[in-house]
Parts: sequence; C-alpha cells; structure tokens
Amino acid sequence: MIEDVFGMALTHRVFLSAFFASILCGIVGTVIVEKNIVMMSGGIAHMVFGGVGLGFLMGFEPIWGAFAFALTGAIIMAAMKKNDSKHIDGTIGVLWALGMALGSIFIYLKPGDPPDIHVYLFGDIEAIRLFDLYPMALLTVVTIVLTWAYMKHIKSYLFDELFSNATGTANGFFDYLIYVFVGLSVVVLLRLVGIILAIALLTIPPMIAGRFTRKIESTMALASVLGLVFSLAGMAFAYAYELPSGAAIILLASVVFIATLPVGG
Amino acid sequence: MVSAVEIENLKVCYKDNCVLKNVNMKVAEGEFLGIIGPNGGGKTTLAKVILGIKKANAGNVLVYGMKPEKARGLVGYVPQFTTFEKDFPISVGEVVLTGLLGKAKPFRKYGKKELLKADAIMERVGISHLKKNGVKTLSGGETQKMLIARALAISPKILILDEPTASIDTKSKDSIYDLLRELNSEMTIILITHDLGVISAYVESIACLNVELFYHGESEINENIIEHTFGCPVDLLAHGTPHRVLKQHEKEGERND
Repeated sequence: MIEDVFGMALTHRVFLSAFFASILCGIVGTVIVEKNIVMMSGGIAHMVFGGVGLGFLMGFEPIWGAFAFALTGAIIMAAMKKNDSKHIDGTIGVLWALGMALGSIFIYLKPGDPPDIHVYLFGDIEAIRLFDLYPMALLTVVTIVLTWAYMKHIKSYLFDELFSNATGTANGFFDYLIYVFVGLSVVVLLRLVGIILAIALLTIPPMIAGRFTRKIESTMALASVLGLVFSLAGMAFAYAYELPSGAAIILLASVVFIATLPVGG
Repeated sequence: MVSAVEIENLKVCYKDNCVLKNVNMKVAEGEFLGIIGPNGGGKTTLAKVILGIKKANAGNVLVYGMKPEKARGLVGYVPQFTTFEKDFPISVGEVVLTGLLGKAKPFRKYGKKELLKADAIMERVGISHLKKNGVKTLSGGETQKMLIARALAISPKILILDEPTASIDTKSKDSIYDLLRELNSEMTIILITHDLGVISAYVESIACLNVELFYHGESEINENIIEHTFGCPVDLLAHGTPHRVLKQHEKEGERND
C-alpha cells in the first residue's frame, strides 16, 4: 500500500532505514536506559542541531556537521562524568539549549530561503535518501559486532561500573565509547524521527522490552523488534491518517509503553 | 615481611574538596581490620584508592609493595549496595563470572576451569541454588553473598568490603560475618562499616577514619584513644570488645588549616 504512493525505491529505503534504526535503537537504547543516561543522550541529540545549522551555513552536507557536533557532545558528556563535574544535569541542559541556539542562528545567518529544518527536528521518511542509508548500515553493523564481541564486559560494566573499573574490565574508554555511539545513533535517526523525537525511539522500546525479558541480550533483541514494529506501524498509521511520520511512530510507541505499564516485571 | 597495604601521608581531593588527608596505615597480611567513621569521612574513597581506581593527590600507596593499579588482581572488592544496579537483568552465575573477566578481550569465553571455579565459589558461600536466578529476585543477604563470591572469583589476597551489612537482617549478617571469619584464614580482610554492633564482635582491630587516619598495627594497642578520636564513638571504645582499637593520629601542631 505504501509503495503505491511512494514508489518501490522509496519504500525500500524507508523499510531499510527503519530496520537499521530499530536494531541500533534496540542495542544503544538498552544501554542508555540501563545506565540512566537519558538526559545526557538527549543533550547530545539536541547539540546535533548546531551541526546541522553549520552545514547549511557553510554549504556542506548537514549530516557531516551533525556527526561532528554529536562526537563533540559525546566527548564533553563523557569527560564531565569522568571528572565528577559539578551540576552535570544543569550543564547538560545548557549544552542542550546551546546546540539548538547555534543551529537556529547558523540557519538564520544563511542568506536566501530558509531550509526546511522541520525534517531534522521531527524526521521525514520521504526525505530519506540512499545516501543516508550507508552510514546507518555501517553503524548498525559495527554496533552489532562490538556488542557481540564485548557482551560480557558490557554486562559487567552496566551491572557494576565501579567493580568493572576495579578489575580492569572496563575503564574510562567504555564511557567515551557509549556516548559516541549514542551521538552517532542520533545522527542516523535524523531522517526517520528527527532530533527531538530520537530520544524516544532510543528509550521506549528498551523500557518496554526490559519488563518482559530477564537477560540483557533478550532486552536488546526484543527492543529491536519492537522498534521495527513501531516504526512500520507508525508509518502506516501516518500514511492512513495523513500525519507526520516521525510523530506518529513516537505516539504509537508511547501509547504501547503506557498501555503495557501494568504488565510484566 | 611486606605489608598487605601500606599507606603514607595519603591525600585525595575532588577538585578543592579533600576527602582524605594525612592518612597513614599499615595493614599486615592476614589481618581483619575494621575501618569505621562517619558518612563523608572518606571511607569509600579510601577503598577506591587501594583498588587503584582513584588516584592519590599526594602520598604513597602500596599493595603488597606494588602500585595499586599493578596489584588489581590481588584485591577483591565488595561494593556498597547503592553503587550497583540491583534491577539489572543478569543472573547470579553471570555476576560471579564477571569477577573472572579481567581486561577487555573481544569474544571472551569462559573456559571450563573458570566455570568450575565459579561453581565452587558459589557452593562455598552458599548460593549454588541461586545460580540461575536473576539478581533482582535476591534478598539482601543473598545479594551480599553473590558480591562476595564475585570478589573471590579473582582469587584475591585482600578482600575489601564496603558496608556489607547495611541493608540486611541480623541472621544474614551473622552468616556473612561467619563466612568472612572463615575467609580470613586465607586472606586479609578490610571491612568498611558503621555497623558498630557487629564489627566489635568480629574484627581484630579497628581504625577510625574521618578525613584523617593513623593506623599502625601492633604499636597502638592499649593506647588511650578517646580524646583524639574523631568519629570513633566512645561507647564502642568503652566496651573494649575488639582486641585492639586504634587511635587516630596525634595532632600536636599539625593542623594549620
């Protein structure tokens, strides 16, 4: 049904991007939720807007600006945590707003017609290009391989960071790696759900999955499946009722989240 | 003989806030030392320094004559209840095995020997029957035993426990302290706690930590401690149940700040 309207190629792109995004969100989102770093991840996500704006202003592909800002944000967050900085929560709020402010100013300074920033804020599946799929696919594969390779260490770190530091299993490097993956994930989610909604697609599926699973691997797997279901059903829903796709996906995910609150452990 | 832990003039600060200063202590091999002191007195930080995960701003710390970072395999750590994720979906068996993980190697698999070792340790601390259970489902006492088993998995020569009985019932406490007493025949035990009732009955010696600490083993026996003891409650000292109670550092003319 969707293909009738968008044509085969776009349907494929949309499906593939939902597929990659769901796996990525399932894995990275589970870590975010278990490590209680949703605020930090939200901060990184919103800093990305600064990079998008810079891309528009300087005339390069906004995605590269987004990657640069995501990495910078990730490194700042990890460093703050490592140094036990004062008022971490408040500082995240500042960086959060600063990213948005920079993005707005950069875009304002760009002469000519203002670009459609809506795509970056809330996502737009019709804007998904083949070009967007490559970094998505690459990041998904790297994430799967790394998670698989270091599953035991990740578990030790998520369960008890102090102990895993004391035994040398994890070190500060782990923190940096996690935040970097959060930042990269947000960037590849841009087209699908946008900056503002990305954090929801990262956190809602793992929170639901966590209530029905007893192993972190299963949480990641179930969260990935849920993410895919929400994405596809949300897009179908958006198509049927002529709603924005990103918002429809998150709305659906949130409804299921609330509806399943009384169920599971 | 080399001391299990030897600390000289240790100073540790977070930014401007120095949580430890003038800390001097010497812990002999095989000792069962209790470290008591008020909240915020730096007890957990001291543990982190011995574990090599918090750097000292000044002073020397040696664990069996080595820098703490080099002695990681010698020190087993049982953390405070508030520091780990009790809700994390992981089984008891898996947690105990993480003690054997060591440095991050990709695609790490536990060998047969390691699996048997973990089983033997769980048997020893009495949690074999819980191996497959989720951590979430454990009682306070069972959780504590699991954490002790995880620390034992690294075959430590020193076991450091941070408030091990903070949130468990009396019966479990007794069984945990009995276990520790048994373990003490094989390893040095440093117990950080404010659970004075139990500590006096089990430990050989006590050091009081309130930012500063002076503990020098044998020479301090029978000293009159009360006057200079910050954070060491008088009633505990008056009972005299521990074999030795160590005084804090005499501070004549030392405190300028």
